[in-house]
Amino acid sequence: MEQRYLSPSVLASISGLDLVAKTVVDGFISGLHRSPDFGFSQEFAEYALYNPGDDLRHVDWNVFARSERMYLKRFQGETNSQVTILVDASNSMRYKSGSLDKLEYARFLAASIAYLASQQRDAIGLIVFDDEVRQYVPPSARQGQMHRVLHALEHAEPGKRTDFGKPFLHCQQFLHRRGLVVVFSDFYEDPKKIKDALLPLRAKGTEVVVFHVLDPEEIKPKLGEPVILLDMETQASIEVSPDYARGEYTQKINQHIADLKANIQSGGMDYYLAATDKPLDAALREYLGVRKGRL
Amino acid sequence: MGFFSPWFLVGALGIGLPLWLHLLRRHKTEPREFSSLMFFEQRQQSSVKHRRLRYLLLLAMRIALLLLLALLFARPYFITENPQVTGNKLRIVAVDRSFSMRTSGALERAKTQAHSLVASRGAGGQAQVVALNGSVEVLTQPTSDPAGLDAAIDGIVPGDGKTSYGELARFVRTVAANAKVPIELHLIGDLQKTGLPPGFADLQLPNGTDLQVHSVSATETRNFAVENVRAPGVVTDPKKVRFEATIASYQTTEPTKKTVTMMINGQTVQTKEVTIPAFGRGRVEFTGLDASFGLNKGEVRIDSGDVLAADDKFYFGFERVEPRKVLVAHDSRQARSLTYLKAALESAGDTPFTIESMSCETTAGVDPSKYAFVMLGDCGTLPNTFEADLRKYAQAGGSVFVTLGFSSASRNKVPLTDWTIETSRYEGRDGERFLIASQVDAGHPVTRRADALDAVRFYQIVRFTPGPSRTIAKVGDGGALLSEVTFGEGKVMVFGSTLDNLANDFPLHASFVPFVEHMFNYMGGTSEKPGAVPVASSAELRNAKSNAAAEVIGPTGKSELSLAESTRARSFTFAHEGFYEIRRANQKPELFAVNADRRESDLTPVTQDTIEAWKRTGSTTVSSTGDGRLLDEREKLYDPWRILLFVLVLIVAAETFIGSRYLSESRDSEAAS
Repeated sequence: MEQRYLSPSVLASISGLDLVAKTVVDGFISGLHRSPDFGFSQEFAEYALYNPGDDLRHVDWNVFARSERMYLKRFQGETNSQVTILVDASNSMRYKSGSLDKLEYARFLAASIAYLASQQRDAIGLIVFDDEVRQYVPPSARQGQMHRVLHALEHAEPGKRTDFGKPFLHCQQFLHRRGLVVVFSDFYEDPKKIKDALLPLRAKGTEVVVFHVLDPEEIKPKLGEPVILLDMETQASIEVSPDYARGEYTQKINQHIADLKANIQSGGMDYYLAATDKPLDAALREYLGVRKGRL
Repeated sequence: MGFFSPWFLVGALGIGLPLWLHLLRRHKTEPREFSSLMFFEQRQQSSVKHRRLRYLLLLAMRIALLLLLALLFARPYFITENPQVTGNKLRIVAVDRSFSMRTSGALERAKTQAHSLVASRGAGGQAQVVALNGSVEVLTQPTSDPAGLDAAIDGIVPGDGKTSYGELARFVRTVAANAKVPIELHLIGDLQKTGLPPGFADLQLPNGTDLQVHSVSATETRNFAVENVRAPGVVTDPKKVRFEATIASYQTTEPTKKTVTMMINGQTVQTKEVTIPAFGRGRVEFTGLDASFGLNKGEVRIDSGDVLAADDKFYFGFERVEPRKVLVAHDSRQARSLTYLKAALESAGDTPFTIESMSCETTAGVDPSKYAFVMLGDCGTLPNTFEADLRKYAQAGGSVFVTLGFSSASRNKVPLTDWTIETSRYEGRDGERFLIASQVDAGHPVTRRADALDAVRFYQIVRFTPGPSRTIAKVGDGGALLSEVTFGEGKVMVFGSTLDNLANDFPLHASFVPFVEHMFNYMGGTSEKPGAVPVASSAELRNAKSNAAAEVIGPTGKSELSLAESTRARSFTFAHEGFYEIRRANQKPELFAVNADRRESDLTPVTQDTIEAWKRTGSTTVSSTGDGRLLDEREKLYDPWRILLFVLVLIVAAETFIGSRYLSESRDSEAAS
């Protein structure tokens, strides 16, 4: 089951591209808690280039031996994070123009992030929602939590329409500790409403990372002739000409993306546009970049 | 509206193809699911509708294209009003004034009918009056002036010509081609059957011509006529001459006796009775007549008492002359040809020639100009003085007939012509080796009879090389047998054999006598003019080189030519019955007896079926429609295939343009995507 979501190619890609991911692959995180050399109660934070005058005790000589470059290891005080993954399983997430629909892409990303979090002993939780909370796996760092999360992800089926109100209200009730909330959705909603729904989480000190999952066809539709489009959630239909799709629609969706990004970021949250034609590692790299900066 | 080939309309079902392509196939397209229509607006359907409209235009063009194709193959037609029939008509009033209209009151009735037709033509309607008399005589141009039309009708007098309905139809065709208006043809006459042309196609009237026939013939069509009188044009001894008159009866049912009277120069010379069989002919011979020297006017009359008295007489003319001498110079050793010549001339009957013979060697001092013509029969030698005189004689207009035989073969050249004599070829009679004549000119007066030289065996031929001349006959191997050359004003004819039964067997053939008779007449300048000629025949007044004046005295005793015509006219056409005297410069007067065409005597009318068939030739604009229905003459068939084809081409061009634009737009949008 894990193999499906965490394919070796995905993990290999992560470990080869980002130092934090490399740490994960090498089992550095697990050793982090046991090695006295680097101190307990300290959580590896980041590498920094060595500058003359820095304390040589913090130089990572292993890295120096491999790369002949001197890096300093920086640590943060150990604060086991609680990572809660929210996956939108509304009907619109079923859309796909290639071989992978948006929900599946979100599953892959969520599983990868859950795995990474579990490797860091973070408590991981999962909420699958549409207009209601469909599945809820409370955050936990217990053994077997990863399996539960992945199982819940596996059984996340497209539901009805998206409604950010109820699910996020639930989140506020469930999330009592500060932590990290990762949201996967296509966000077909007013950006302000989305921001309003997410801001209460942020107000509790929770880091919120938003993955805006979109199919490339949604960003740049390719219509050769006028077609009748059927809304996957509302079942409304409309005839669309290639001219319109090429012109006004593209303009509007780009404006929506920009607005959403601006709103999210203005609320102190992170935004990442995850197009389903992009490799998973690129999205994970983005996440890890965010994670690195925040935690 | 109808179709010539309605079954092709089934092809219109082909419009189902574009309908399926444009509508049905498109409707089958299922809506595409899209995650959200949040950013699509309903108003954009107008652009889709615009595109749809363009599709509909393309669809309509494709359907129209297929329908037009089916229509073109089905050949639609429309029956419209025939403007040539329904428009303003030109009324042509044709009055027959031919010889047969001399029956009592016929022409007057015709003129009365013509007046009423002119008067009833309608206000402003145009009419034209023509007369039939051999040819069509145009008496007025198309006009609406009643006075002019009536005057033309009043001026119509009986003629001596022959009715020809074919000429009338040809005239109407010409008028229709020029006037381009519907024609109403009114034919007024006795409607003789003999007026019909040999081929019915000659009666073809233009489309839209309305033929109305008005018969003014007498109820009595029984008629007797002097059909012909056989009389020679030149007579030396009238007592020996036989005149033969033919009396014909038409529409009779029983044999009839008639008294036939022969008159010469106004004097009755003989009267005979003849029985004419029903619808047949009787012949009367007159012999032992007496006549004065010079021109004589003869007439044969019958007392018929029928409706057409004008054909109860027949004119003929002849000239009594003194016999003229012909000099025959022959080889002193061989006089057989002379014997045969005299015998043939005697057998020919009353010929105006007598033969004066002498041997070739004794011709010195003889004046050739005293003879009608000179014949040199196989002369081996000729006195130089005679040959010189003979040349002068021929140069001045005399004629010389030369035969070549064993004696003349010894000469190098043909007398007078100086044509080279190549050799004398002799074929032995025992071996049955001979030559026969071929390529005989049947148009020459001497060999007019096609069988003139048929089956004649030529055992001896003198080969000569004719200069520029007319070869009248050749032998089988291509050598010249009989040639004629113009010699100054006169002529010389050379025969490559002799007229005895040694070099050939010609004298033993029946064709020898007419050959000799024709040869004597031709060489002697005696015309073989018949005793009578029909109306509308012509006589030559002068040849092309002559400028001498000629005079024609008509039946009324007055000159028929104007001053200009008498100096320029090459020929004269006899328009009326009677005696004509033609006086040419330096020639004796010539008498022509002219009679109306005796086919006019047959008053049998044209059958009604023929008239109806003739009428239909002017109304059959189209044979039939697609369903086989014959069109009325007021209807006209209109076949719009040219217009349909033009529209089809336009639609194809428009469809190609719109279709290509749509395709290019689709490609552009795909490329832009």
